[in-house]
Amino acid sequence: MATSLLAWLIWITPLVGALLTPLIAKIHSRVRDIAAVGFTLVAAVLATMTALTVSAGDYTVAWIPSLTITAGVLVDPLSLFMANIVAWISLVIMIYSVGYMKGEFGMTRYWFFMNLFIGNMLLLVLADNLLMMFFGWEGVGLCSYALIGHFYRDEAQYWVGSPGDKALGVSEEYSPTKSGMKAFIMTRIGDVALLISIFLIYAFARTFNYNQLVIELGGAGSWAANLARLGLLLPTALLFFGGPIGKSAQFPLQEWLPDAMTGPASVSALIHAATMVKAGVFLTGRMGPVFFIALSQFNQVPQFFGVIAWIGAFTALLAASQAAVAREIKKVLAYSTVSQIGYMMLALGVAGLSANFLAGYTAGLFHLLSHAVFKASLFLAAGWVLHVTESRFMDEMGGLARAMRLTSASMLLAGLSLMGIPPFSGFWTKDAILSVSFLGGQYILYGLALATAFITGFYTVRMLGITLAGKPSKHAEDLTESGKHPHEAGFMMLMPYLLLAVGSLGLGLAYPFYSGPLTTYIASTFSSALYKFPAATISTSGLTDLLLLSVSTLVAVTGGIVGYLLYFKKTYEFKTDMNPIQRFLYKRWYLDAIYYKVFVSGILAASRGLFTYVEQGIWNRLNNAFAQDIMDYSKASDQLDTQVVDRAANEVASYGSRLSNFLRKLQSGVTEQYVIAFAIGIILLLAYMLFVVGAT
Amino acid sequence: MTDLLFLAFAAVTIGAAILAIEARDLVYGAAALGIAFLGVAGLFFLLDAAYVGWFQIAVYIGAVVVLILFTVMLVGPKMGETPLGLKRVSLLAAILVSLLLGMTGALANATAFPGPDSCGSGCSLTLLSTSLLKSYGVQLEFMSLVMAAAVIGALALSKTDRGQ
Amino acid sequence: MEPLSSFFAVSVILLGIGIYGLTTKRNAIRILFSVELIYNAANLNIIAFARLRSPPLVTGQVLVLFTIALAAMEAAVGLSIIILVSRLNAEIDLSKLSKLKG
Repeated sequence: MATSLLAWLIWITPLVGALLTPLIAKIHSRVRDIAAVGFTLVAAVLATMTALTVSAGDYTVAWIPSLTITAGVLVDPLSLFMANIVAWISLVIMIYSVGYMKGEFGMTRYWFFMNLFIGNMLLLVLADNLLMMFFGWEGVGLCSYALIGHFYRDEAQYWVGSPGDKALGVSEEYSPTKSGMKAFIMTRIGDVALLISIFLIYAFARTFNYNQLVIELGGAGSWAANLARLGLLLPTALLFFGGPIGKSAQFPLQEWLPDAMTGPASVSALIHAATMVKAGVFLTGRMGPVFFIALSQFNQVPQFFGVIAWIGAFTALLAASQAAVAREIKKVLAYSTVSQIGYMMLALGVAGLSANFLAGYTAGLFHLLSHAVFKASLFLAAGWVLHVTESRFMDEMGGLARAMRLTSASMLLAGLSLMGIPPFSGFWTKDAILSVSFLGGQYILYGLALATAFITGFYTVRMLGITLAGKPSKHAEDLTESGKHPHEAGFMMLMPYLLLAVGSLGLGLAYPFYSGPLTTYIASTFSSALYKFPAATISTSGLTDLLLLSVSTLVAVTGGIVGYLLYFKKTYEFKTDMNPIQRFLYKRWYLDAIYYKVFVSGILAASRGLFTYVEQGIWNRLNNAFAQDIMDYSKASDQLDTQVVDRAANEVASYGSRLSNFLRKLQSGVTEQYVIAFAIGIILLLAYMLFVVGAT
Repeated sequence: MTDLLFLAFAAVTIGAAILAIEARDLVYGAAALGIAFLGVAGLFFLLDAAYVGWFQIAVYIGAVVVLILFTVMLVGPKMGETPLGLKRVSLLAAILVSLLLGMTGALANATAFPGPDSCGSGCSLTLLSTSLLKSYGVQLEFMSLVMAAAVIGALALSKTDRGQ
Repeated sequence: MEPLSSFFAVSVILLGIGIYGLTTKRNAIRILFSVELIYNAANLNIIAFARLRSPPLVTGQVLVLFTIALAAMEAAVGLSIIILVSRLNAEIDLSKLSKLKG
């Protein structure tokens, strides 16, 4: 227990810290800020200490004994790898936040949700069972909602989208509150699928525990066999992947992430680099091997992993193409995240399709690491750029390189890593994914990934060119004239993104030295004999490797050159009249608008139609028909007074409104009526006992 | 002897309870409530739950009733209620309550509850305290946490409008 | 010794008085009285039922200790709400407090 306590404290510390934040805030706002960062620091140190000292294992305590459900932390290479990334990147972002968010309103709320976010993410990562994981999963969703909508007063400067943006008549402008809601609801769609899948698994396996799930796959009549007998195994796996699709913003649920840019830049960095979207990749990484073994007993592996790989590759291309025309700097980065996560999903999917499972698997996780580093750096630097230029549009920046050398340098370094230029870390990890899909024989997927690499090179250079190079834009000159010169960030804000950018370079330079040991380390998660993976050594000549490396580099560089020619040389101006392709991409392939048309407006229209046709139409028609019959009858017989008929018709017509009034009165808010209802309930219960139970 | 005591306690409890609800003045009502609590404490003694009885006296009469009296003073004894316009509600309540009583009576008759056995060591204070602190130690800790929250909540509530 | 059913009877009568008070009274303090009476009815019931077994179940007494403590907290919070409401509205008649009603 003694050493495993360290592992428990990794996720408990930020959660407790979050709860303490409102209390600490009473002392002094400065103390509150430092304490909030301190809690994350403790979590990060604990994560590293756990990796160094605690032996791998599943440390459980009883949770719901009657259902034999235990709670526990799973200490294994995969969870520690992830926990360390999450905790350390979060720490850097928290340090940056101290300066960046200084003087903003609602800071106690901000720190509370930031720590809650990190704590829930660490819980998600370290949980040893699906149920606990789901608590963290939902907690992450809740915090993202709160933080995206942090500026809930919806001031114009925090919106996303150009003024007047419309696609198919649907407004593409998003206020913080709206996009927070959108993120929450969209991810929830995936969560429902995930929850159904978790309960299906539990219903057949009677356990939530990851290790237990694997162990029980061994025997005959395992949960997988029972599910497969009903034809439910593959649907269960696919429903499970629904959760990651929502959380990691993969097609078709990718639309929430670009609008989630309404939060502060630090929040965007946290969502994109350390928490939220990485949760989906992690969960796929956590349960992917389990499903692999389960599905391989019934020859259904290619279907499941094919879906992952194709969704990943398609999302990568889709989002990259949208990034190529985006106008806002943070939106470029957001599309880029969706695209890069698509790469990771591609890698995890290809893992199941190729002859060597672990090659693709580790490629995906390595890319997660390098992406976390360079994307955090880009977002934090972009946050400062936004602050200096007082605009979110790239065409209102320009020429920043002269005044902000270090910020520009770090954006350049991180951007090169994103493009995949040697020797940056992004180069190695992206190339690993590309070669895994090539060597796995998935040439179409490889082609998609290569096209994405080209566009990535293009949009990265485009972003850098528009913001940093060239002449200052009109907006920027106006700012300078009014005495607001662009300047470098303070030490505490500059250091985080500068160090991350340099770290990205360092990780790339050292890659040949640590990649081998780290692969072995992560692979040791699956050292147990229960994991039967295909592990054929893919024989390649050094020449093939070199060829693949040079092709991907060449493609990225070509993309970069196109971007350079188009955007470094000329001044970029945002034009509303775009050519059809640009417009198609800029309107996000019209997907967002279609979702709105179908799901939001559709449901509203359906309910309105229901009201018009069912409530008014049918009721009235019934009433009228009823009245008409009586009228005819009365005319025919000349017996009934029309007044009686009218009254009868009115009676029927008013029946509906009286019913609804009666229902409304039930919820009166008057206490005594509730008490009377409660007393009647007791009496009915007593009557039941007296006459039904007592009689027998 | 115990029968007489029981009758006395029961009569005091019920009478005082009715008075607490019906007394016109809230101060008298609060006093009557205290006496009803005292009666219930007496019934606890009769059931060999002496510690709970003392606890009841200390908390209910020592704290709750005093708190209520303070509130009545602070709010002002004149703070009344509008007389019930609807006699129907009173009637309905009376019918419901009598139904409740009648049915419970019928149930109690049907099921013969024996008189309790003598307690022996089962009611000893030692057993209660070990049970409270050992078996239910965690729950006790949570209770104190809830209590702290309630105290903070009460303080926060009464503090908020200082400025206005 | 009295049979346990007599204790149950007292408990039910207390509950009835409490329900009667809850339905017919509108003064917030008076409603608090009724709630406390119902608490006491429940407590008495639990203590009496604990004696049904032989030897008696000590859990009943522990539970009642908890409920008494809980009732005291509830009274504290409830009374501070009443004070606040009376200060804001000069009124503690619940039927007239409808600001929160949608």
